[in-house]
Amino acid sequence: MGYVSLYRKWRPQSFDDIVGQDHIVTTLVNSLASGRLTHAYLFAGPRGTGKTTAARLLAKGLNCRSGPTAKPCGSCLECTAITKGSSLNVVEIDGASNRGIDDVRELRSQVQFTPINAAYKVYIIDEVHMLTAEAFNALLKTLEEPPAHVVFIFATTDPHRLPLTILSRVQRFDFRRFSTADIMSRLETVVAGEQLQVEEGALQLMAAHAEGGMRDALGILEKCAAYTDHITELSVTEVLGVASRELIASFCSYLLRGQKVESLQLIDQLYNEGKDLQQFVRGVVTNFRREIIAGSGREEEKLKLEAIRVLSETLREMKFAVDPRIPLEVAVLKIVLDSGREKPFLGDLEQKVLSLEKKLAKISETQQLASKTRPETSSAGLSRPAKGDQKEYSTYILSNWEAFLQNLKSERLMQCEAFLREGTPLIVEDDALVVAFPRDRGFHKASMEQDNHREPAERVLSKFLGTSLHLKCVFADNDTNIQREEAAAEESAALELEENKTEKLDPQEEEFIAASKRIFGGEVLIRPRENKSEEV
Amino acid sequence: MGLTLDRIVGQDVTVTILKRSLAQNTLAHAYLFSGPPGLGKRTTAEAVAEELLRRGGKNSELHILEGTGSIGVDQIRALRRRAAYATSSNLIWIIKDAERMTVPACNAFLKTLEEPQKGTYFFLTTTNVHNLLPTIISRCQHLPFRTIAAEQIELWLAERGSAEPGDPRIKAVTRLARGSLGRARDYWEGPLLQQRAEILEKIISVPTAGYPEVLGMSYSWPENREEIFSDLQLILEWHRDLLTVKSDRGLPLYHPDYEQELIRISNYYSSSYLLWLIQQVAEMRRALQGNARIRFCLGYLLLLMKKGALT
Repeated sequence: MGYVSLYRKWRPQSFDDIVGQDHIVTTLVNSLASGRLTHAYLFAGPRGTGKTTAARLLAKGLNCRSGPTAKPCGSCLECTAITKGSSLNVVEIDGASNRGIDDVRELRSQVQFTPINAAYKVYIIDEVHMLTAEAFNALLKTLEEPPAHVVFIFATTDPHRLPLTILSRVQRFDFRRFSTADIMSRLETVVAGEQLQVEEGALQLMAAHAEGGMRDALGILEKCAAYTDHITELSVTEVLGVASRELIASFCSYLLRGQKVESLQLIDQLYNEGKDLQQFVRGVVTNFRREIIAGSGREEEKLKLEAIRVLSETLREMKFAVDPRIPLEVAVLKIVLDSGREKPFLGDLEQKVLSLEKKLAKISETQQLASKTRPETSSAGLSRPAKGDQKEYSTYILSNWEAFLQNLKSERLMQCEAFLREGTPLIVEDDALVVAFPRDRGFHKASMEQDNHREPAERVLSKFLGTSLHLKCVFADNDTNIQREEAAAEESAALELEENKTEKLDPQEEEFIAASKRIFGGEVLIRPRENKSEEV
Repeated sequence: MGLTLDRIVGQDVTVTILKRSLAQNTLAHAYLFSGPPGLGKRTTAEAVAEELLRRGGKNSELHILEGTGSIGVDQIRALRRRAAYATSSNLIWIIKDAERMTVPACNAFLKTLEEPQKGTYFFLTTTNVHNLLPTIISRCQHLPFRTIAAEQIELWLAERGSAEPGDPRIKAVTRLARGSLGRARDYWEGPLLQQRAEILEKIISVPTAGYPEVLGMSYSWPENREEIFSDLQLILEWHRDLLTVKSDRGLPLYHPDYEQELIRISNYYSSSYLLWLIQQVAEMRRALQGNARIRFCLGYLLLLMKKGALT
């Protein structure tokens, strides 16, 4: 006989060989010993937990020459036939390929024939969740009251996909994932039987990576045995492509201490060695979890929990990323920045502060320029001027302009304040304060000239100065030039349009843009192109 | 034998396992080769299959299920029917991109995959092992193919192309290959390198361009769903590199040949903004996978790149 995979070769051949599923083994053994058997079983549980194995053992226990027995001999005609898969009385059906109603009808017609040279006819239906709804329904009657010589055993990884009517007709056994210790004990048996040389630490690593599946564990063992004659912990990490425990531990401490450069270098190293980064992240999370359970300081614990949270999210992202390394690097930076060991992660805020700083620098520049052009106001913040002296009013309002604007604000005249902020106070003459607006702030000037804004502002101004004053708004340059300037603005806007080589807009829109520009100021960033035809 | 297996670059563990198994006649009945494209999964499978064909005699058969469509339950049933009869020679199946198997097909395959007749061998390859049922994976000997170390790709490229291993172009291609020989070859021989230069040129100009130009850029970006994801990946890598040169100049870059530009442009951004931007790129990729319009998503990204730049 050719080579057979370890997981097939080492399928348990007696109930004693089954590790870790005591709750099931005990029940089955007791009912076999006492002869109190039911006619339908459901074995449910994740991959590699022994469902098919238990089903075959149960069949042997039922049909063994000395049966029903909890200790099938394994040597009688029926036992050997079941092991080989050639028994006529134990029918193994692949539910995934014989899933239709016709298959079930055929099964029903066969059920009535009595077994040959054995006590029972056992039907093992593997992957039973794949049966169609019609097939399940066709099975119901037979399943509820089969002939006395028939036993059904269903095995599935997805019991929730079975209809309730099936579930209520079977005795259900839930197979659990194996614990690491269970897997280790079984692996030891296999290692001894196969005469392999395996280190203790290597066994542990294999068991941990099997994630509760015995078939996975034996698969890993088989791979390692194929890789090398003497299996060490190192060779297991090589075969599995995982990072060593030391690397994981040092990565964890880098993260906690906020050493981002070291962390990133370690990722680079793993990446270059072709290690599985997702597996690595899982290892890191497990390590943090272990440390938290073992107990650590309050601060440390918070950091670790946060790291676990971020890394778990990252794992999901890594699954779909073209290159799993970038999400991991980002996660590292996030953890390090968040932990405060590096520096606080302020997100957008930092950006805003930076841009504000730049703006401030610009403003102070322009202010320096402005203060040169303005009349010298050494008497800033001086007491209210004596009545009637227009020159003193001028000086006062010029140096206290900001305070006046604040006054407007506190009087809830937000709009006035906003409009006036665009202007600059020039002088008080003829019982009026002259405020100059830049040429491109025509909108603000015009709004300020409206009564509903002007009057309340004048009221506040009068209160502020202690005398009644009007507001007079002018453009920053000579008022008389307005007409000419407007024409020039129009001209330059038109010029700009041509310069930008934008597609021709209809003249109405051109005019609209030019007018908007004149009124609101600013510059043209984007024009409505004629992509209407495209969009529709 | 061994000739073709020896030519597999950078998969020492896998090649050792397969060679030893062949030598000791302990080959498993089912193998699953997983890993990103261009690592040599298929070549490896074919190399082993060839050897098995030779050993099995003239009646041996090799079946290859390939293509891009899904593999349905009927195809698997046909496979089962053929695999049900034991022969004295070898019967080999290579199932390329096994994730194409539908769920019913997978389930129909399970019993055969677990306990096939003697002399039957299955080789499954997949680029995304997470899309396979765990019940399929645990029935195969799973050999993950690793991304290939940079030095090995450099050497391989240097052997193929007529360049020195230290050539900056080779370094760049190696980085872009992300551990895959297939990608390295495509970059080295195809027009990809030129395309990358064009896209990077656009990205580089964003921080200093005006808003109208940036928007114009998004308008003129080719609306090609095949290519947009590699463009996004490039944008992602670019910002990752910006972040890296900001953190520490010693760390390796994806685009080492652009180091000067990276350093210059990284001064425009704060670290946290770059971090946030990278997350936005990932967000846009999700949106695009959900069939969002390329022009809008890209425009949004480019505007963010422009807006955050403090020039």
